[in-house]
Amino acid sequence: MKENKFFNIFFGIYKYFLILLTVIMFVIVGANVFSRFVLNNSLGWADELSRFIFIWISFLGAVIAYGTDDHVGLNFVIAKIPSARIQNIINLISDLLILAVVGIISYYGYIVSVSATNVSPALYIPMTLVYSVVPITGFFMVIINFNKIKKHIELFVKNEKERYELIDESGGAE
Amino acid sequence: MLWLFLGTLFFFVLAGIPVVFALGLSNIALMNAMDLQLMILPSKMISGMNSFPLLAIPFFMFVGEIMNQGGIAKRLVNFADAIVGHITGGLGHVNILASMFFGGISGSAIADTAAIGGLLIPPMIEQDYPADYSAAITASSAVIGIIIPPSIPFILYGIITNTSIAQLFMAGIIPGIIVGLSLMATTYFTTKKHNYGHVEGSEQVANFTFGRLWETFKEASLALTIPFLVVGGILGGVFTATEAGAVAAFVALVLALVVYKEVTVKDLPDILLSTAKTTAIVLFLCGMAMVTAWLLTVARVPFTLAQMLTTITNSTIGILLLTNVLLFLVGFVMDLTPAMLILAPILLPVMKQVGIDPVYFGVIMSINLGIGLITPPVGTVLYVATGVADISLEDLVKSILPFLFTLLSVLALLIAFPQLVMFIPNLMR
Repeated sequence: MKENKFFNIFFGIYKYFLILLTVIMFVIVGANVFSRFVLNNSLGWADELSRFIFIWISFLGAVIAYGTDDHVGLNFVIAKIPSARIQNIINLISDLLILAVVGIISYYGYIVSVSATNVSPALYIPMTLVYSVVPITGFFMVIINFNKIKKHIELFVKNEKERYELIDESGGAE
Repeated sequence: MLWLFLGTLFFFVLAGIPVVFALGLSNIALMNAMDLQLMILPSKMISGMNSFPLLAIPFFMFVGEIMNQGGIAKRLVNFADAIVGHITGGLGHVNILASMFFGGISGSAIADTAAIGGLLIPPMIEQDYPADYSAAITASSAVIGIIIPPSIPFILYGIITNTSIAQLFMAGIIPGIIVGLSLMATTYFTTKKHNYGHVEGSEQVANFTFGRLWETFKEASLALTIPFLVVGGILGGVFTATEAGAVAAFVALVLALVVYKEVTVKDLPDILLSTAKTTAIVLFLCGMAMVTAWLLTVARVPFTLAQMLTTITNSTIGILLLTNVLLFLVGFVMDLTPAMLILAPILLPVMKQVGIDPVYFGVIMSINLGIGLITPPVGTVLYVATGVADISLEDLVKSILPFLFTLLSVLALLIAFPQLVMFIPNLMR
């Protein structure tokens, strides 16, 4: 994702954290199925905890997908623009708009998170903890966003076109 | 309000902003226009995702990832070859039948294209089928993967519109089989007409024998228990979709790791990371689209749209046809997931008003947008197939036309005879 050594190490750890969360989620749901069908005893907390971990995976994984440009989108129009300068300006504006969305969602997500006083019904997990994934995700996305903006400006100065990959194998649920 | 939303959305998407962020921008614009507090945005996103049925998605994604490398796909292909490999157009039929088996295990058309295409396109080319024709069969039959249960688009539709996922799954069975059989018929006639796949005096095409059928069945039988567990468990009311997903993931993992030994523990972190990433792509979009759906409902957009449509036509079939034309056009520029998430909550109230069953509409909408996966310029399955077969998009689009026509005919058939879709779910009611 980055040339920077610190980023490499950081996102390496980040990826393993994501993998760990996925394993925990799978194990909890699996244990609940086993317990319900074999031991005839449903684990009340499992449903709730697995949902919360699932929310965390969905947000934190979206950071990785943003870093690797894998969010579903259209790039065939922008890729066809002949002028490198215009293309880079549009890309720059797009990423500034993304910065605005991410900024707004994280800011209000932070407010929702710190003002939440309730706890979850089964495990008494503070909802602040569940909501806090929104500003955390926002923070990482902003770091990646700054890197992308830097790249657009560099390409603009060099008058070079962005390289697009039109074949995308990993997006979407289809 | 609808035009403000669609206008901002399409403008941003065309500028190359990923759909999820473009939706975020449109949501913020809508909330401003409606004088709503922006704090609603993150909290609605979280509450939308906070749903146990959605957890079925990572499990079926995981099954798809495992099947891509676990030797399961290969065994399904061998079994399909033993059944239909000897008919004219042999490997074409094998490709379609394997997609039907595969669709019963994974819920994803992309996993199907990559796995079955990777296994069958090279031997098809070797047996004198043109590369673009082979890729066309692979891409068009992959659409079956999302119709035969389990199906990730059905899960998304079920959650965003509050429709029973179990009934949607059951409703997909007959349409899935019809699509498979019609694609096989198309393959039979096109291969016969162009004389594809005839290597004179070749020994490559094995004859049909019961011995081979039994051998390949034994190999594939463990993998084939998955669709029966999923369908049987849900139909019998034993499993929810999420529990069925957990069971399917467990069986697939044991098969790949212990029985077939084609995945090692070392491969698991990569498989899990890619599961987490694809899940996040869908769920992040899903959370954002749920905010949109809520906003548009508050702004009474479905009501306005219903009024607009009823000025054009008043008949149920007229509105259904009009909606399908609209969905088909959307399929050219948008992929299934975002189109489903954005349009289902707007369109379903209109459908309900003219007396169309939510389960029926879910199946029709998924098939229609599924066809959108093989229409250019935006069609994920098309791009995966060009990658696997190493051909140009233009060539693939030309040879996919007869199959596209077949899929559209099946869609028309299902619109004309709703009972084909609703027969099995009606048994459950």
